[in-house]
Amino acid sequence: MNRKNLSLLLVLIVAAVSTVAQDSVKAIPTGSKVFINPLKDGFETELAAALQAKKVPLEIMTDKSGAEFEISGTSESKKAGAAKIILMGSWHSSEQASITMTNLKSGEAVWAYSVNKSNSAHGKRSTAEACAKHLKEKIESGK
Amino acid sequence: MFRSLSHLFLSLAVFATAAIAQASQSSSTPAATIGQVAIESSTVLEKAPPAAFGKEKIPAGSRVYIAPLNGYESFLVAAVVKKETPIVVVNSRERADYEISGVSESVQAGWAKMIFLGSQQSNEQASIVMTNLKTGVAVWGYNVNKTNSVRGKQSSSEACAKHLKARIDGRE
Repeated sequence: MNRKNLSLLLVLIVAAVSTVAQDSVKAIPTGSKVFINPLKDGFETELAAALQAKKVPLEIMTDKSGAEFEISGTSESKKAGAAKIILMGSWHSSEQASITMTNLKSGEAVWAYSVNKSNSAHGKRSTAEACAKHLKEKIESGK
Repeated sequence: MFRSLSHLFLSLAVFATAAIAQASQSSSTPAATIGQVAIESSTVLEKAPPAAFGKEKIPAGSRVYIAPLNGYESFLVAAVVKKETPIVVVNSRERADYEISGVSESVQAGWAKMIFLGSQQSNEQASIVMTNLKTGVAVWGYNVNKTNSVRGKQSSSEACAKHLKARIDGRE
């Protein structure tokens, strides 16, 4: 009976340790060095500006070799056509973007986010800031 | 007056008979083709597929590499994170146990769709296949088609991630 209890306790400890270890692998520490890969239509510049604007606690690197994390992704932008302006009464563009943050040592994707805005008030800036806001939330959550 | 009415009825009756005849003919034609296909497929099915095909269990925590899908791979990673699909996405094929490949297509709403349907949402379709890199067997596949996708590629990728999660959890 005692042996059974002991083995059960051991299993529980191992499970808890592995869960904590897994969480720490996925965590993004404050002040991490990040390299932003060139994205479609210069979205990397918008993203870097958004990270600054939203005060995301990351250090942006221009050289990949010095970075711990890497951001890659894609973005799409469509300006409002005549039909949208006349029929929908909206001249705002449609924007969608998706970014993935990868740990360069382990090669694992630690965080990813996608955003879609049918009537983006500030074009690419809005989608970039949405990504930055959610990245900040992830870093501050510490998970 | 009576003559013209009877002529009208007659022509209507002729049209109706022709339409019925055409309908019965068209319904009988596919039956013949289905029959032919059944015969052909029965000859093909003589070679039984491997028992393990498509039934392989995908373990939670498997390392998965998503091949470049013209930008759709990024949406897929985001969807995997959002739907909490229990896999680890890696950036290198060498580090992975499984690989996801596929195709996606997006068609923006044109002026005709905006006028007649009052919708500015895009049409999205995607199809992905997950392959075991050791055995080379396709263990899972899913395709999605959304006529009015509320959130574009995000919606279709989340559908894929949701169904992958269900497959890993053994619900599908």
